[in-house]
Amino acid sequence: MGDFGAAVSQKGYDVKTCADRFLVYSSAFQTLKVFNTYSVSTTIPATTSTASFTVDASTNVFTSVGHGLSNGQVLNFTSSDTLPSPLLEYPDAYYYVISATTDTFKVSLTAGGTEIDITDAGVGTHDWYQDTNGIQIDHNLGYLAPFFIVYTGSTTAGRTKSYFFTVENDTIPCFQYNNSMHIFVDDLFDSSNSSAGDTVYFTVYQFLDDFSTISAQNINTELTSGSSSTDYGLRISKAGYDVKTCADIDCVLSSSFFNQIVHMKGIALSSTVAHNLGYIPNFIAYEHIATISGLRYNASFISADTTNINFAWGGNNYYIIFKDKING
Amino acid sequence: MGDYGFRISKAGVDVKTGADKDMIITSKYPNLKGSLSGFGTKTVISGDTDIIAIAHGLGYTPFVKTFINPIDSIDFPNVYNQMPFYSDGPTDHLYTFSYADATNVYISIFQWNSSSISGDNRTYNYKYFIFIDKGKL
Repeated sequence: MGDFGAAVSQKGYDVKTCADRFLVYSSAFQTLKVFNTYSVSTTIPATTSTASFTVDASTNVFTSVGHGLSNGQVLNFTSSDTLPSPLLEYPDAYYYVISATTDTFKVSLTAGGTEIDITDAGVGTHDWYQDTNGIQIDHNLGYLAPFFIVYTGSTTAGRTKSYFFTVENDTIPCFQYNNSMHIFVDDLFDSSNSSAGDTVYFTVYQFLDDFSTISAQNINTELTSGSSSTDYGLRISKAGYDVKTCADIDCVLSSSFFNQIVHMKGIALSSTVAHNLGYIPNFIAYEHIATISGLRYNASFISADTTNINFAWGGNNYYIIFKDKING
Repeated sequence: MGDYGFRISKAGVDVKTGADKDMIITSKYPNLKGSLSGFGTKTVISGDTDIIAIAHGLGYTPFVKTFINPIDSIDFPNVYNQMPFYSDGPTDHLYTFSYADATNVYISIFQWNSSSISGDNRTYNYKYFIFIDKGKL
């Protein structure tokens, strides 16, 4: 049976015969939709503090006499042995101070959020560190969704460049939860180019799509097509923009530009996901940290070849594989 | 006022009532729009940082996505990795990331290896996608 629906090819490709990856749009494949973009900033901490603490698992109360902390400040933890459960050691999680008094506090994964339910006191000596400022974006989607972060500079470095998920030679600490995403900036952030007290700036792309499974399907694989010099196509503008005159950047979709068409997506239960494309595809993936029910971008832990995408370790990692080819 | 626009749902989802996230496309939420993509190969001497510059012609700082493939590394497999990719093996060390300004996209590759058998050079394939969407809003 024929493939009913609608499709738009990239400029120069025959929509009837081109390979799937040369389509701008097809009703057979989902695309990645931008829910919102954010321009956010915070400062590189100029002062830091640290002290030891104990915790009462029956009340979730942390005790650290004269801690000097305020609600909303960001902490990370280390231990000489084992932290109180379910706390994770730096850099696997960051926590916000809530319910602070002179000598006690509680913690949450979000500013002003629900307190972490501590289930035991841990073993050994535990320390908190306040050397990080956090940015919290409340997208309120209610599920884990993909995101991109771009670092765009600082007071000292200037704002002429953008870096994808990185500041030079270090990945930006960032986490996605069901209703919010977070960026963390510590006192050593971009230390080669920036200074304590600097304002640091980020662009965030928050996508609407979730990671519910889309299984791989193909219509045309790895075929080339005839060329066309005529610019026929499809153009859809954003609300409030005249589709005939608006800039390309103000389009929802335009056949003048290639699109990231989704080949398959989901949650990987094992350390490999077969994509069956026969070439190496564009992909985005996130490490799922079960203890905090969140996602973290960790490029060193995922790779792709002509058969699979591969995770360094298994366990509910979230992925989207696109039709685009990256090996050539 | 009603919500005017364009909406196409996934198979099995009612286009009138389905959630926005279950749409193939909706005029309510834009797609990232790819302007330019490319592929290349670079050999880097141990201890060097090589920066590949790719002109994008957009006149503003775009959003960029890149991948790296170590072809002949002793420690890293011959697969493609999202950038930024920072990894230290027993012999090979690779720190690579990408960035952009209003003129170019840059791919920075620093490698250092302590191998005295296979020499000081390592070769990498790289792939880039440049979007007309802005990297700096």
